[in-house]
Amino acid sequence: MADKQALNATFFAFRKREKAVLLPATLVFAVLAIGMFVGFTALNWQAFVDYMNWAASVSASNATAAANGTPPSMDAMMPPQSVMAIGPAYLLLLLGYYILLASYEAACLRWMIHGETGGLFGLTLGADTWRVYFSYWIWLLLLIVFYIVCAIVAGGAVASVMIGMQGGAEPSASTVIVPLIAGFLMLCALIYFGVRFAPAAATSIARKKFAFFDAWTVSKGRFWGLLGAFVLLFLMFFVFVIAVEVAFIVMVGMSAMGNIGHAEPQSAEEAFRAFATPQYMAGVIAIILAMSVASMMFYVALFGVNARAAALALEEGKITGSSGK
Amino acid sequence: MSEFSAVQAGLNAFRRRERHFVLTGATFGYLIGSCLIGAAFVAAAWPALSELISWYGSVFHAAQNGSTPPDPSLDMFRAVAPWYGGFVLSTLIWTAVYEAACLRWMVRGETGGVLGLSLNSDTVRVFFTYLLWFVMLLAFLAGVGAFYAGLIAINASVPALRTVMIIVGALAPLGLIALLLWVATRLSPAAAMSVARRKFAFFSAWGATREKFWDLLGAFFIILAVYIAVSAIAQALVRVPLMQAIYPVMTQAMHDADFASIMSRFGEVFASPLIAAVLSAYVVLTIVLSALVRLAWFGVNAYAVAASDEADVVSADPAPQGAPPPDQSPPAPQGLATAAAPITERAQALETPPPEQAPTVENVQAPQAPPVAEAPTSEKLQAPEVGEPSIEPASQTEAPTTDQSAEDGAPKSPPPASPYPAGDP
Repeated sequence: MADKQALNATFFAFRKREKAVLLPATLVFAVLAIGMFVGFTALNWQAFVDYMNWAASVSASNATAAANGTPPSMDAMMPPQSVMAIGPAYLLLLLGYYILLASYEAACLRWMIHGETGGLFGLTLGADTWRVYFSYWIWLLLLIVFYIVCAIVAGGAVASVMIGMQGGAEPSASTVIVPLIAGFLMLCALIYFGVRFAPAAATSIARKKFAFFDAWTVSKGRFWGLLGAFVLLFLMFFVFVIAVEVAFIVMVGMSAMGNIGHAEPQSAEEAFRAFATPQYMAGVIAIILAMSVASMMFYVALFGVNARAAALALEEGKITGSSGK
Repeated sequence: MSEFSAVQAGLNAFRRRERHFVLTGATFGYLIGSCLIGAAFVAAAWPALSELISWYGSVFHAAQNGSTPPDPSLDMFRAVAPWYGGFVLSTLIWTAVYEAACLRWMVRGETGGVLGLSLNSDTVRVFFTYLLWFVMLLAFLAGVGAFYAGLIAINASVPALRTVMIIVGALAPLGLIALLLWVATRLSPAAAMSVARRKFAFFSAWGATREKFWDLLGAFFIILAVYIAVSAIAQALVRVPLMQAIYPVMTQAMHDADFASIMSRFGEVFASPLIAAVLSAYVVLTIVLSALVRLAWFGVNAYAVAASDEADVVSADPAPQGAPPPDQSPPAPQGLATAAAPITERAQALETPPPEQAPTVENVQAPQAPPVAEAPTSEKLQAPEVGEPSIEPASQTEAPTTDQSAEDGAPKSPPPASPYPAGDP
């Protein structure tokens, strides 16, 4: 086994490589994802229109009922059929979207770990994609397990506090502290296990077989390095988001104030008109673009951290590819 | 010892073996038998059940009319109870028959009876395993009750310990569930162990799963994840037409609260060809999925037993006498496939013949197999896990695993750790 190397993973995804693979893959992913959501919206456009009309009618019905002192009409509460049908359709959209996301993540990881490409700018529906996709399901199940554990701990904390207050005893400080400590411990456990299993998809790509739980081996001895990289990326992302939001609010707010003068808008229509300006629309488009670019860079950076951990584990012999043990 | 792979364990039941459709046949037999048991229960208990159903209907009518629902008579339940007890017992026995058949095939490579299902000593062992599980669960629940009773008593009698008791009480459920999970996982191959050893060997599972807890838990976890994923996708697909069909009835229910007419409309909806077909497909899928999950579960336990057997063989005799130098030793597949020597024959297995003669494992009834020297390469053995679980070359000491079952003393070997691309059960 080779000596342990420094992780240096935070910007691993953005290292210069011999080919530009991540950018085309990201662009193709973005185009396909936007296409999926646009297609979904187009197919269900009537449902969105019906929803808006239904929401307006419910509001009007409630107002009438309140004015007459009668209970609101149950007929009006029933959403239109198209709105009811959008839920299952949205579930199917999510299934498709996560397959696309898995394909994208697999493409990025395959390039960063093995230097391999292929398919549509790296995106394929090959075995790697399905390994990553199944990792998502394992994450979902782990999350469910975590919620169950949280519920158990919360139940235990409540039960123990009740036991502690038996016989009319005065509530002590421990009745407050114990649930707080329990909550803190659960948060720590979530972070710990989340970081330890974070390279699960990257591990599967590195080993060229489904190896979710081998991520534990990959992240062994690298918890703090991984956590530091993730925290740094999250901080950078959130600082960027806040900066963009503040700039947007200042810009659009000043524009809107300029349109309506310094007086308060007298109606919703007036307020709406104040924001329906080219400046506002340009601002909205700019913020969507900026946030999309930042999100994609954030995603790729996260993939990079995990890829670096898995690649190092391969180098150090902690894990091996499918041809070795 | 070879790598214990959670993925391979989860797929163990679905590997290709030299005979096809053994597990499929047993599963069909089990499903048919289960239906017959259910039908027999309903037929036998119908006089008692009909009273219960009438009472249930009267509760609905009372709710519809706004009147007080009638109280259930204890005699109704007493009349049903013996039949229900018989139904539960029959179901348990039938499940034991099924599990024994599956394990017999996966662990010993043996079949027999009708579609592999037979009422024999293996069945009795598996059935007693169920009973022991039940007794242990009762003991655990009693222990939990005693623990909390003790906690309450200490809290009441020693107020100074109140804070400690609160902390213990808060963390106890987590610890108790972790304990339950740990013990259940460690003992999960109990039935497989009993079938492998041809004797009731419930607690031998503890030794078989030593240092494999996380791998086993991971295998069960993967099975659950697959189950949840496929179920979720199937439900999403079913909901689209179902929502379209039942929406008008739901709208009517908002207008008109007449129970009978709404139920009649629901009946019409569910009897329509499209919805009936969709629901039938969903029911079939659910049955198939639950059967696959059950088989996968058995497969994990069989895998654990086989891996434990392999570990015992390797640790007892890492370098068999007469074995050729490592560079002459043929590559042998690794993992469960080479590890399935019946435990009852372990003593013989430990006297490992040279690799040229070395029988591999898995099926004591298998005819003469190709010599180990002709073992497929690791590339050939590469099997898809969830896709492609790889069966990798074993270390030289692991290559000659054995199974001496031939009556004439000649070692018989099934195909060395057959390639097992994921196939049907």
